[in-house]
Amino acid sequence: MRPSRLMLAALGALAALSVALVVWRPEDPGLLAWPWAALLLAAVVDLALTVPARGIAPEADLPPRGFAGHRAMLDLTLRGRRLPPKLWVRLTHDPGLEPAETAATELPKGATEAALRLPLALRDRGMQAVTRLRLMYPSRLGLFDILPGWPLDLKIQVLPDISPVLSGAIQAQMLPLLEGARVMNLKGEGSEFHQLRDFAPGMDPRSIDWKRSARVNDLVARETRVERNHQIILCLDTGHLMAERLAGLTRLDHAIHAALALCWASGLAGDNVGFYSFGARPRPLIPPRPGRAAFGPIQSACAELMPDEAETNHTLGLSVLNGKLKRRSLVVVFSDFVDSTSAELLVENLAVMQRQHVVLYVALRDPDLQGLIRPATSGMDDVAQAIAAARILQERQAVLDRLARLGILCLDAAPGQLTAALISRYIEIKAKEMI
Amino acid sequence: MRNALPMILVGVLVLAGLAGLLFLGGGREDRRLDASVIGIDGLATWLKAEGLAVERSNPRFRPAWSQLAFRVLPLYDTDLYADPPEAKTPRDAYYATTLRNIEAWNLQGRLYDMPALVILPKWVAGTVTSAMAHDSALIPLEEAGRLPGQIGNWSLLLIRPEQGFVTEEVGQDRVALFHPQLFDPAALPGQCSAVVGLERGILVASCAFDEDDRYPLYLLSDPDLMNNHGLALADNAAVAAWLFRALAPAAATGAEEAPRIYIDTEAENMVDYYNYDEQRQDYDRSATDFARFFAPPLTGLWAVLAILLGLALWRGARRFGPAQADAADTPEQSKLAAIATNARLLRIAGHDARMAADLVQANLSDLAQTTFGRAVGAGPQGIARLFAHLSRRDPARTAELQAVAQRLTDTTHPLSPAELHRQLDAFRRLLETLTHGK
Repeated sequence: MRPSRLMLAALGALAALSVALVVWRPEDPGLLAWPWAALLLAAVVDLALTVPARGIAPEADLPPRGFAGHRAMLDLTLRGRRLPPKLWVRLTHDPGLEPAETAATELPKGATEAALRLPLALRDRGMQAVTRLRLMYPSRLGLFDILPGWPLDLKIQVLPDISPVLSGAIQAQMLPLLEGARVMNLKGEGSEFHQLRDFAPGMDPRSIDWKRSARVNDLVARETRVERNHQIILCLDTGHLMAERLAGLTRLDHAIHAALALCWASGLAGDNVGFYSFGARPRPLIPPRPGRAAFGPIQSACAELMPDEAETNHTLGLSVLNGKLKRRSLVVVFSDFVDSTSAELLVENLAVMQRQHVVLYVALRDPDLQGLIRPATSGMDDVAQAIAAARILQERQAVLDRLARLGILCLDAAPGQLTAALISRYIEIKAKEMI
Repeated sequence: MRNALPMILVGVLVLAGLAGLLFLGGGREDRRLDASVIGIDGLATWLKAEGLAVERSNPRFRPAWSQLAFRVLPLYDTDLYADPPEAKTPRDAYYATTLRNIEAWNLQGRLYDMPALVILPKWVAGTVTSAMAHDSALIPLEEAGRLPGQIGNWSLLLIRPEQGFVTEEVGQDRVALFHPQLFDPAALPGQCSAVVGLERGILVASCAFDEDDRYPLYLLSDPDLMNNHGLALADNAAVAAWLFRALAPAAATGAEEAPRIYIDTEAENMVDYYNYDEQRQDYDRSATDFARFFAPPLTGLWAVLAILLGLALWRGARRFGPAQADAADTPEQSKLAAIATNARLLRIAGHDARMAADLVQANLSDLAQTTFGRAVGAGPQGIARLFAHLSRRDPARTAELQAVAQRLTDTTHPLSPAELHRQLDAFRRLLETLTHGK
């Protein structure tokens, strides 16, 4: 409990009145006591009429698991003989959680039970806890703020986001490739024989298998599909630059979510997926396995990944990976750089890797920087900031152009569009049979 | 600039100190006169040695009138009603008769408060520097002689009866004067009487003012009796001491608190006629006085203050919810800080027009690449293609946009800041209209 602003304002007014009384009626000090006695009486009456904090029993519940970048709902039920008509809620929690700013909750008059849902943004992976619940409601006359608090022991395990996998979004996106529709439309088609089927008008006459047609005495066409059993390596940079938050999540989290989605997609497409991560030092390689079998180990490895404090050693990380790969693979590198100078080593090592493998470099675009280059006003400070931001973007684009000239595939996407863009690019690579 | 502030303060203080020194040290010329052969610095020292209570005037000290018994006022001016003429040549400066200008009202003001001895001038200004007493350095008699008339309207007549050194007996002592300057006893007016008379004339005369309520004034006709070089001659010093014992007996009692003889060489009357000591009241600051702060009705105010403070602290001590975490030094913060620093440096460089041109180019190029793709939309061709594309949708506005962009990117004719702001506003507005509609 604490005095409210109204109480302090009343005190200030009474203090002014007291000074006036002392100045004008110094001979009558008893006069001073009356307004103060009235305020004291009002405070006592106020406390007597207020809903007591000990009469409120809260119950809180939090789902045991949630995906990073999503929201989890904390269900709060308040029970009591009577509840205050208006209250605010605040939680003490780990920094990986972020409750949404909630306005005052209005409760119906005379309510004895109230159910509240408090959204919590899950920012960091790992076990996150909510340790204390605090309520605040005004006393009946508004002279006091009542601040009851209860300890909580609620834990939520924040996992890498695989909601696109669970929701079937990846499968839907992969359908054109799986059903061959996309390949059929592409020049060159798939190179791997799939099956023979009866020729129907409208099919490419070149697909007719004349020998078998002669054997069965009917027109039979060869149906091909894209090659399977390719090797995909998901390679994550965990250096300090990946700790930068974009749209609420770190770059590393965005990369992990996209990598897991790609892993699932590769499994659907029949490819083998391996996983590798490196920061200042390389971590062990999870060798390529058929996609679905690889998903579990990769998911657990990702759950433990945290951004390093140190600078990434691209040379060590990429050369170790290059030494371990015996077969031509699609290496998807999730990394970031600050400027063209710091990107030099990255470019050099990707160029070395590109000689044997197909390299797809994935970078994340910063939406805040994009906003800065279009200033909202014509003030010269904003213009200068726009120029500075534009220079950073130009430098970044120059590095990506240089990578593209070296034959390295680049994907520069905004955080929300990364997964879809990556799957799309994967389908394109598969369809073009670049691996 | 912040680092220079202490230095500026020190500089101002030093200048103020120098100005103060200049202001307070303005009497340096006067002090030189007082220390010269015709000054009377030595008189105070001598009289003190003789056991008389003496005080020399000081520009920074105002003695109380009640503590003074007698004033000694050497005159170095021959006309109390006129300012001295400005010396145009060194010769004029040498023969100047006014060494310390004093106005009649100023002099009269000093003669009202206590008995005084006025020492008439005898030597011209050049004596101070040359330290030579020669008959050519004597102030003409008609000039020095007008002073008794100006002081008290007395018709005392100054004479110089003899050239060279003259020695005469005064009581037991001998007075030695060079070119003695005396009052003519034959022309002694009724208001005046001789105090120290020599054979050839009167050395010290006492004159009464017309008003009855005034102190008598003593006039010393020849300053050589008491000035720095004259004191050393014959028994002049003894005569001077005897004279002051006679004129100011209160100062000669030898008591510690005896009223003093005031040797006044200041341009202004420094005597303080108001005794502050009598007005000062000593308070007994006891604990009872302090307790009055906590007696009614002030008790009520203290109580009010205590309640207000207590409740404010109570409110401040109880926080609703957890403490808010400080904005951490995250990488995104450092990137924004880097952009802000870079922007600041660009602003400091002072090429606003160039910056605006860069922004226009960047925005147009960005839009062209977004519209046509990175390859086709790149470079000036991309921008030209963008304008062609836009002009098909709205030719008038596109022409306007093109003109504004041209004006902003033309760095050979830089625009004024206000014009730059206006053009940038127009550019942004037109680009928004053309890309996103009205």
